[in-house]
Amino acid sequence: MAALVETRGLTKRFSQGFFSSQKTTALDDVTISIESGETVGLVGESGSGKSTLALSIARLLQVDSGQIFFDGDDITGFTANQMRPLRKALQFVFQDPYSSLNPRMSVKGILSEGIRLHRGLSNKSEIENEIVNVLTTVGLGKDDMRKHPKEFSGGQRQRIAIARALAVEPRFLICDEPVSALDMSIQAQILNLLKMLKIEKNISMLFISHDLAVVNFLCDRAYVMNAGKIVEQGGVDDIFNSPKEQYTQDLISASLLAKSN
Amino acid sequence: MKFLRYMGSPLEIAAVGFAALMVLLAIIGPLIAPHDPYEVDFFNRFLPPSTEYFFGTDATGRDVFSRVLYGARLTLASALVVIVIVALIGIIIGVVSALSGGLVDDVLMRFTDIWLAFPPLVLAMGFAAAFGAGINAAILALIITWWPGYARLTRALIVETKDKDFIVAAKAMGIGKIRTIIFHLIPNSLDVLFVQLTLDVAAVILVISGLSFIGVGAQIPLAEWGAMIADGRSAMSRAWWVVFFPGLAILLTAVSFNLVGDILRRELDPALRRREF
Amino acid sequence: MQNSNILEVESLAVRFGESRARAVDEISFGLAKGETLGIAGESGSGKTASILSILGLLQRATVKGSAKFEGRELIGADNKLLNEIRGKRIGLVLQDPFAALDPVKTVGHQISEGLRASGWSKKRAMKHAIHLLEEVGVPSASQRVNAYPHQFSGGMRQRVVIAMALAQDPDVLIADEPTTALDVRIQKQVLDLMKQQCENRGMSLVIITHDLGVISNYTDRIIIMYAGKIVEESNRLKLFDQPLHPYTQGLLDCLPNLGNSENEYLKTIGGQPPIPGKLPSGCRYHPRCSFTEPVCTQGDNPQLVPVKWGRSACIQLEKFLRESQ
Repeated sequence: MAALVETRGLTKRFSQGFFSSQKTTALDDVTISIESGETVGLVGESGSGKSTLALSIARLLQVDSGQIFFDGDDITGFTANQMRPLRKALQFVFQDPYSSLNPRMSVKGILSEGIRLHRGLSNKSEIENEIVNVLTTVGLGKDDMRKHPKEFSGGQRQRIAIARALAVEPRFLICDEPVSALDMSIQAQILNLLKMLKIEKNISMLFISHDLAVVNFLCDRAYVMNAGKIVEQGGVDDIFNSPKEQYTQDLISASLLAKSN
Repeated sequence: MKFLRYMGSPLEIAAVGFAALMVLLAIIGPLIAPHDPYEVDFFNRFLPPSTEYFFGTDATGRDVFSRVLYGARLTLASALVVIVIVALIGIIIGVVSALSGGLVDDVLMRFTDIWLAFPPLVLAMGFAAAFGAGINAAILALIITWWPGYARLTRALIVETKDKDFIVAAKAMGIGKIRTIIFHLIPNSLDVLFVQLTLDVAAVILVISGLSFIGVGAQIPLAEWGAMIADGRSAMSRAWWVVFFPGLAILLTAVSFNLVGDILRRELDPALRRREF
Repeated sequence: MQNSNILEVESLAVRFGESRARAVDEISFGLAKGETLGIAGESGSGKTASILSILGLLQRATVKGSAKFEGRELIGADNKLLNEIRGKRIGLVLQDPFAALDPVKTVGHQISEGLRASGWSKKRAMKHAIHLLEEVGVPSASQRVNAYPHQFSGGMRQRVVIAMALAQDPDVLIADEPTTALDVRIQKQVLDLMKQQCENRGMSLVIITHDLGVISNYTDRIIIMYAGKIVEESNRLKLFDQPLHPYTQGLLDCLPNLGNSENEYLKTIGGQPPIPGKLPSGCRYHPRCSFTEPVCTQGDNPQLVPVKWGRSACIQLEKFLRESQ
């Protein structure tokens, strides 16, 4: 059975700057796959290419070479129009809750856009019902509908962002460092929410993080990236208990030391 | 409008009030004018202000008060025409330039730069010479010289906003380009523009009056404030009211719109500076 | 204890602008010579505001209370005294190294700036700057001293900032979230560096952070702040084994450590930290606390009192200690 999401030999280079002809390689022949029902982690430091990979899979960024498959279809060259029907199934949660929501739209407006577009609902009260449902799922309430993002804290905004993704009933969620910008106690709340979505709604996920402990908590399998390449992969227990690569070991030691009890 | 809550000092309240009054007069002025502003009456030339002629009469016996009222509509309507057209041209070019990037962006911006080189005054005089002086010449000259500023401003604002996460999020949701531009991009980038527009109303009023004053804009007998001042200049020492009241109207209108623009900027600025995104 | 403290803070309170709400609400603590103090808390706890207010670095803030550095009062002190202390006796390392560095001046220029202002010759100051860069582990220091901030990576930049802070051999180094913007491996390097420098120089170190992992490995004494107040004071050895406040316990429980992956869900603290203007009555933590009794909801916020090996602001401490075994 084909994987839900697959990349083959993905390569992406960015030019260094205005006057430079040099390029940095953000993705170097990256091949990963995610099965339906899996939560896969993508671990790496800044500059490792993990965000670039996430944005590439979501077709928010063009790659230079390689292929991306979603549900068996090659979506590498899909235009915005071709991608549109797939957007229902493939959703994205961004890192910064303070910039990923339109400041001038109410929560209701933000959530109804996707519902109108992808759930085929146009009846006002039906849409409102769906909005209330999804807000409740993420731990917010009916009254939050008419508020604007600036009336919410970082953790609450991230819930809204997750609600926006959930509202279209996705099969696959890409989360790019969704809790890195949040306080510890709020991180835990959002992580629990994501875990609940994994367990109860069986949503497949690609979870990007620099935090090994978080990946260990949420994910079944993980890829470790360094300088655009996949350096290690496997089940989270295997990777974190018996890493094969020195780089992975370095990451583990650094984070254990920083977080040990 | 929500900003009514935020008016601080008495000066600001007065400014908003006066600006609103001017807008009102622009609409109903001609209906409440006691006299026909174009009716000459050589028996009543240069009459000082009285109960019949609130602002006195001018060189040809026309009622200054009625002319000032008519002038409100003329001045504000002209300013509105300039501002609206300038904003439309500027926004369209700015948006296309910012979103296209590359060659289109460069070409459009260089095209914009060319038009920036024209000074409004010289251009207006040129039009006056070519097509005859008149308020339309002034309006046209202003439109041609004012739009580049808005194109550049719009482009800068859009470029700044288009890579923000929530714009990318709209793409990730499959929202079409047009909808993204109208509902996500423009509302979040053009608040600065809106402030600039309000401030520019004052500037346009001054320039149009100025052009009329020097003779390349509106011509007498049109009841335009700048033209009225020019007309009454020679008689200023014996009939101060002919120059004073139109001048006062220009001053108060420009200042009050300017203050309204400042209030708007102050209200939007903390939001801008805080720039949540 | 009081006399030997290099920094003694008493009833420090900070208000911002026109607001009546206190970002820091009468906190008292001390810092001994050579010790490393960790100040931990989440957003809105007041941890950063408290330290910045002591150094007179907050804009539009009303600061009350006392903060004595070697016996000299800093709150309300004139600029002359503050300038004597800032940079020279108390060094500061902030979160974002890029923002702390002037992009148009070389690194060497910035490190040596304070020294030159104190009367050092340019040559001598530059030499010292190179020496400092070597000490903080910047390779090819004699060349890099002429480089600009943007030519350094994030971790290297933070080292430069540390070199700047150490330049005039201060007695206290204050680091506000020094590693939050850095990668995990670099975090360790930077923290190791700061700790080592403090030990070598006999400097006191204050680390402000939200990361309990940093606290656990690099500090001697720890104070935990919540909603502008100190709720617990403890030490590195004891804090993690036996917190003295339910909030601390809550924070520890919600960490997804590499150890507890068997749990299906993390144990979280429900709700949100209170907004400064809308504080709950009684203990500020009570709405989120599982040990709340009616007395916790009334009256003023409980005082911080000495207990066991530290201090605690929990009036249900006995119940908490009993039930959290």
